[in-house]
Amino acid sequence: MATCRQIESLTQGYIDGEVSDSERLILEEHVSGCRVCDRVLKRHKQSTALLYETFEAYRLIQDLSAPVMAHLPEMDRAPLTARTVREVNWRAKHETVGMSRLLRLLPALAPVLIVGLALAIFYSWPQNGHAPTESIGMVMFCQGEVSRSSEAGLDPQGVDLSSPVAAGDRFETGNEAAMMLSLAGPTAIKVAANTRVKIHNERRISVERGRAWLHVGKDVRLFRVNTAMGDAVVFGTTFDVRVEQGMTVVTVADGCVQVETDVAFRELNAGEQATLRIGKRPLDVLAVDALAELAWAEAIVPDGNAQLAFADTVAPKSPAPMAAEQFFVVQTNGRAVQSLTFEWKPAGDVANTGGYYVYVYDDQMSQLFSDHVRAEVFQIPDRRSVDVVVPGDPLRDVRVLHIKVVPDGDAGESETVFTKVSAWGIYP
Amino acid sequence: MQLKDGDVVCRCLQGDAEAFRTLVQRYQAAVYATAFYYVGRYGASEDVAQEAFWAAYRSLPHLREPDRFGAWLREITCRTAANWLRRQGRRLASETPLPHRRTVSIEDARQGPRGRAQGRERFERVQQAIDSLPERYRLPVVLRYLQELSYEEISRFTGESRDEIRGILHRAGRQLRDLLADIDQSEGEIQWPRADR
Repeated sequence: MATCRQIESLTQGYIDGEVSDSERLILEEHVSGCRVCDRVLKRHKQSTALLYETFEAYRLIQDLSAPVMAHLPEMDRAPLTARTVREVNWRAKHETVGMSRLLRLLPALAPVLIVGLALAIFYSWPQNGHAPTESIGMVMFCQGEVSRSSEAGLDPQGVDLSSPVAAGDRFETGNEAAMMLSLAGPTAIKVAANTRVKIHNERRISVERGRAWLHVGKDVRLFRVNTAMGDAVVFGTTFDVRVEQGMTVVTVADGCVQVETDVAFRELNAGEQATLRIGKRPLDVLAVDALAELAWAEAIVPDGNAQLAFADTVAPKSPAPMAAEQFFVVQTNGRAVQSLTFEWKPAGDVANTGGYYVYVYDDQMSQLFSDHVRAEVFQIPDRRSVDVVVPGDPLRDVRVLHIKVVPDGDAGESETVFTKVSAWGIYP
Repeated sequence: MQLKDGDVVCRCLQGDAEAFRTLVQRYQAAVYATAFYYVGRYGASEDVAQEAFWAAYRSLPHLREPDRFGAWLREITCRTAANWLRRQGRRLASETPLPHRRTVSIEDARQGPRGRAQGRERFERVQQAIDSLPERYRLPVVLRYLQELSYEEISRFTGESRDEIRGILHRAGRQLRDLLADIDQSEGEIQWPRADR
């Protein structure tokens, strides 16, 4: 049994609701049978009630956060101690909870931290890769009237099964003709009738007219299909590109394809079809039966002997493929953003670096803007960063920027590894 | 899940000014009550509380242990209040410190002048009783009875352990009970609502 003295020591906690369940039960049990303690408890309750009642009128009613935040001063510029910096950095990596909404812009030019490197697959480009050989692919299927013209400007020639494909080759199919090419990568391209495609290199082709089905192997580097109306950019997927009068229709059967025109870009997933037109934004996207749309290509199957020849001659020559998309998430928390700064690690072989496309999306992965950074920027030996200016008005009311950086694939083979992306703004 | 103070502080240090709003919301009751304890009689509690938050934000890079933000903020609040009193010293000397600034509520109006006078008198008695407590007890008492902070919240702000706070409030409660015993109170069970926070 608890003594009266022990019970008395619990009274304030009991009244304040700050005792454990067992303490509460012990007290109530004791008080029910002890008149002295019962009276003490009553008096204690009365004085406590008096205190609450007396102070009640002075309680803070308004929320101070609005006036405080409205006139927030500038933070001292005192350098942080090394320990604090370590702690700040550590916490930035180990934090788990989402952000609150933000309304104000920080003191000018305060960099926004990189919250996560969601996807960054870096492999170094081959140091001793094969010089562009004559053969980057092979003709795997050929039916009907198919002709080839090469960069050298020779007259169009007939096309033989299992004949090699060189960079710069242009293939054209006639009525009721069909063709299939395999490119190092591997990438399979099935070409419909009345189609003209140009092979720029093993990662870039143009569909100048007609229709092509592509299966881009999962581990290849970025693959780009140019058309007059816009491009389709992929890592690994199955899709179809159809060029018609004034528009290009891209249908995705598997994986994800980024389509882009002069003014718009967007990612398409399996079962989606986008129509690309010059100057049209947003892109028209439909849900379609992709398998039915791409059924035409099923009739085109590679020749068995050509497959063996391809595996022997072209495929082994292709160095281990590399993905090069880099993805960053920058929290801006609604502050106006005027530019982005990309920093990178010095590359070993700056003279051989290529340019990069930058795609910026909001947190819903809707398009904000895109830009291209030329290869020359990365080729300046001591350069470590580049600014990409937001076109037009600053970005506002966007909490998170998703930034995708992909090599343009047109120049240089040495990859630039981006280490940090920051968003910059000014006072609104 | 609630972010730890230290994490929020680090966000602020990384340039996320808006994160400070979380800290203001978390500590405004405590900071206001502390300000009230020092300058309440001059009606300056809210102003001093705001000033304290601004001072804290400015000095955030000097905070050594981000997880002890609460206790650090209490020191800043006390300093801000002391500075305010020093600044206002001459002017205040020529002013009557009472009555406290407060909104006249509908209930006050119903009470009439006599009721209000009684309320003022009672406030004075309570204030005197608190002032007679050992200094270490006073702030926890104000935090508890003015803003109804939990022992845990009080402990985070004063830097003392929850058990220490429980002991302090118990001893203070006993002394106040004796000091205020003669104030007329209606008999029976008394209900009081917890403030909405």
